[in-house]
Amino acid sequence: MKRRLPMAIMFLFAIWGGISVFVGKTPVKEFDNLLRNKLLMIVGAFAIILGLGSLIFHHTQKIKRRARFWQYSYITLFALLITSFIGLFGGVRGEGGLPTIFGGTVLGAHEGLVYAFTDIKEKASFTANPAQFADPTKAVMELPREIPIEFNRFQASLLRQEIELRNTALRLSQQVVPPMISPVSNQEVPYKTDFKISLQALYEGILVPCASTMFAMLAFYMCSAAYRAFRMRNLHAGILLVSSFIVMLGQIPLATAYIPGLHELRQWILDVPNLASKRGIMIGVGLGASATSFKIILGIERAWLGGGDE
Amino acid sequence: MWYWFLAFVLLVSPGLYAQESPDSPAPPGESIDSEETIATGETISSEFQSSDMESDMGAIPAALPAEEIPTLFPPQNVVAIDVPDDDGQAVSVTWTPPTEGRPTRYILEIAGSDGFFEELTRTTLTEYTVSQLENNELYRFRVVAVYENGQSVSDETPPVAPRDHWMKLDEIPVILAILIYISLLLYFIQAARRGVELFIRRISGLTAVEDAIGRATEMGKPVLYIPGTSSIEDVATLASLNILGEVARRTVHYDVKIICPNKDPIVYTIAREIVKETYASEGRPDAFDPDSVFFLVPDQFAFAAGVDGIMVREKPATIFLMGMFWAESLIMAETGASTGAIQIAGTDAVAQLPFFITACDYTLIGEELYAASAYLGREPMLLGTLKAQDFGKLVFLFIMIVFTLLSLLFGLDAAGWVRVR
Amino acid sequence: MHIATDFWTWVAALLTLAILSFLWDDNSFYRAAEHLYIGVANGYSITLIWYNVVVPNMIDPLRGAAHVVSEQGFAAAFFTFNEHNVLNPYHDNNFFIIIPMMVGALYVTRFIPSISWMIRIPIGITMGYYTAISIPASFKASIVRQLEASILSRSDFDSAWVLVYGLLIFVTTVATLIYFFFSAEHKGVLRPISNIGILTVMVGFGASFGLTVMARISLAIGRFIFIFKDWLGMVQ
Repeated sequence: MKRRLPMAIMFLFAIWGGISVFVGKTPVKEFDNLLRNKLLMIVGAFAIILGLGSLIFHHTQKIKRRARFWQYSYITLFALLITSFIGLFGGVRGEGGLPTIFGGTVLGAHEGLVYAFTDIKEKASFTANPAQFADPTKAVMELPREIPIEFNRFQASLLRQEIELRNTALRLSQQVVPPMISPVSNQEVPYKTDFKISLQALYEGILVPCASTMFAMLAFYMCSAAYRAFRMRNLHAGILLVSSFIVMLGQIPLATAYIPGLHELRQWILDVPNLASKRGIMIGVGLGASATSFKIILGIERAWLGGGDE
Repeated sequence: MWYWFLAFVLLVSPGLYAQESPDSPAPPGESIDSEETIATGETISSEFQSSDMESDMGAIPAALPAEEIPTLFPPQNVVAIDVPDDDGQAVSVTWTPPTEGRPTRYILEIAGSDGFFEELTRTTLTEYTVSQLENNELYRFRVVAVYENGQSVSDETPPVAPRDHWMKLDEIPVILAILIYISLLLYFIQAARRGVELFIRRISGLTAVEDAIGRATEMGKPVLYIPGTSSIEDVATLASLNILGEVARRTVHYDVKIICPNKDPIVYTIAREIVKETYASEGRPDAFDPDSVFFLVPDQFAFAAGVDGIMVREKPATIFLMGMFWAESLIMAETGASTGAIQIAGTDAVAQLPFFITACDYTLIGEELYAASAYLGREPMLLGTLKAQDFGKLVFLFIMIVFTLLSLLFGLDAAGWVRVR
Repeated sequence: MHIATDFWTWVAALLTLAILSFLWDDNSFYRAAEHLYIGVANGYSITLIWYNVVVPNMIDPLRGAAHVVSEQGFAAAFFTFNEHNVLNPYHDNNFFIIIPMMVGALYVTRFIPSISWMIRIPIGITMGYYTAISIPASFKASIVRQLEASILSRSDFDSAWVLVYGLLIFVTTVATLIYFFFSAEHKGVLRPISNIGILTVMVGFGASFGLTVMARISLAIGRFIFIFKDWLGMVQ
């Protein structure tokens, strides 16, 4: 029972999954979409409870045991608590009940962020992207978001002009930003006066810089990895390095201008061994992955059931 | 020393800036990677694959001067058919070039139930597969030939409705390949059951597993196991979890502590079950530390940061990086290497393999990852599937060679026989 | 020089420095940044799951169903009909959603030792479905498509140069496949072929390594631009 039932259920779902791929009839497709995009998502959402439980257990355990560096566990626990509190009660963009954006007028609070808006009706909605102003290099890491603000048509048209002016100024020079007069209060609105602790602010202020820094560290790690491989004097790693060096050097116009045949060699590496190795590996991977899937479906590989027989 | 390399690369980099970098950062939250580079050199998506009709047409050159064309001829033989044996919503439209004149391009127009034609797409080819239509609704099509000096509209097609079909017969090559493979698998599993001796050669990355765990025992340090950074939807993760079972069995045997941080909550749940059950089946349920398998964080780089921390603080003797990885692979592998641990990595992510090869002591490349649990477990049935994997490779190699010969010697369209949409 | 005055720019800059300090060695700044990062990332993902999965897929349908019950009676919330008047048990506003929720709740049985084996049911469902759909997918993408691309045809041989390329790709693909052959030792005739295979693999990997280096360095430069320009205002 303890192994047979889960096995049988798994087998049923495997049969459904295998068949649904090859059946084109709409009801089958619709149910498959429902299963994949909704029902399994709901089932999976419960696993996060266990994950979270594990995380909290891990850190409370560390604190309790006074394990090495246990003090830092407090940081994780508090950060987790505060972030979820802000997110769940304050909303993702500060639209929830908990106030997470402070300072400025309702309009002023967002003006520094506004760069385009759509649908000018009685209620207009803005697409704001602070990255456009704060850090052009960061723009790719940010997601645009919409902030609904209420104002009338006249104010909207005024605001649109202001925004266009401001954007042009920002485009021309990062230095000179003309003062912006709010069409609501008729007063100058200072640039970025508000203070936010919304989830979006945490995302932009903590998660994005941390992620980009970790990602950026790869540049250093690549160098040290290359050096490590070079020192190992391993033939395979050596070939890898030489080939990567050629590909890298072949990207530089100066190098290709002085070294004859470099460009062609680089192109050859990209066209022949690069393609062939990937093709060969992919065919093998396809067979291996399918074999693993079959092993699990047929119950030959049952590590997840705790191995053993019953 | 390595900073000399960095210095060099920094020096040469301005020159490179002139060119487009092959991969640019993607938004966080999604897994960032340079997978696109794999796609280079692959075939063009089959929809736009050259057809016979297209080669009739060739590339469309600039049109003739206006005076030389007295009348503009419309495209001929416009035919719209429901794409056969698919899951519906698609109609394939083909046409032939005008009898005279050379249009610069064509505009395909579609009319639904309201009868109004609207532009669907512009193309220089003479075929197009329209997708995302309503099943069982009637559509008409026409093609406009665009010349330098005007346009010419073809006749309308009779109404056609996309239909959904029970079997997607367009995937027959896939179905056949799977059937061949299943029979191989069943044959070899049966052979293994009968007790046929199955030879598998030594795989160096896997013979190292035993030594690596033995080393951890001698040093009295833990073993760190990362089951990839993907979810259960990746088969590589499942393969990694199977290997985790084998590694855990050895850690119980040698009485070594295992640390297994996870990025995905479902993978965490399964990994924990596997380790716990292994302790139970090896007769030491009391030795299982519930805190040894834990959930770290679902964010890609936060996970890498956390694992880095574990590596430098716990100083594991052996590190396993098995499963699916993205850009964070090298962050973990390099930190692990700098702590002096023995590292055994394995992944089928082609874009990350070079980094594992440079930073790890042993790397399981591609399918070796899938062979690992069978190899380590030495269970006859699992070895049988490994044999099937090999013979599957032989079969497809055979098909590849024979089809190439057929197409070269007899001019047959052998590649078309295995073409799928 | 205009040092940034924005609070979050300071936070971002200090976190950037703290994480970069790990390149030197593990230290208390890195430890603090790492633990903060993990805590916030977890909190962030909880919130996203709440708003993207829990609210639209569980709370809203149940609320809708409760509304239907209050207006049309209990049976209506179970038997909703679609626009073609066909019984549609998967309508958005439906108590049906309770079933996957109950299955998902089995994950929590882990805390009850006597029935903790039931956690295998949701695991089995997820694993069974995804392993099964992965088989045709990997056959299609990794095998059949690659096979099609590998098969040479006469039209591939327009010129001598293309012929050499085509044959080389073909031969090296075959060699790569043979390198991964587990059933025989790399001896005799297999030895040179598998050597060509692993050489091809290594040169190919070198190509991806070389292509990635520059992209990663541009990321590192991006971080330094942030520090020197946006935070310290030293570079304009």
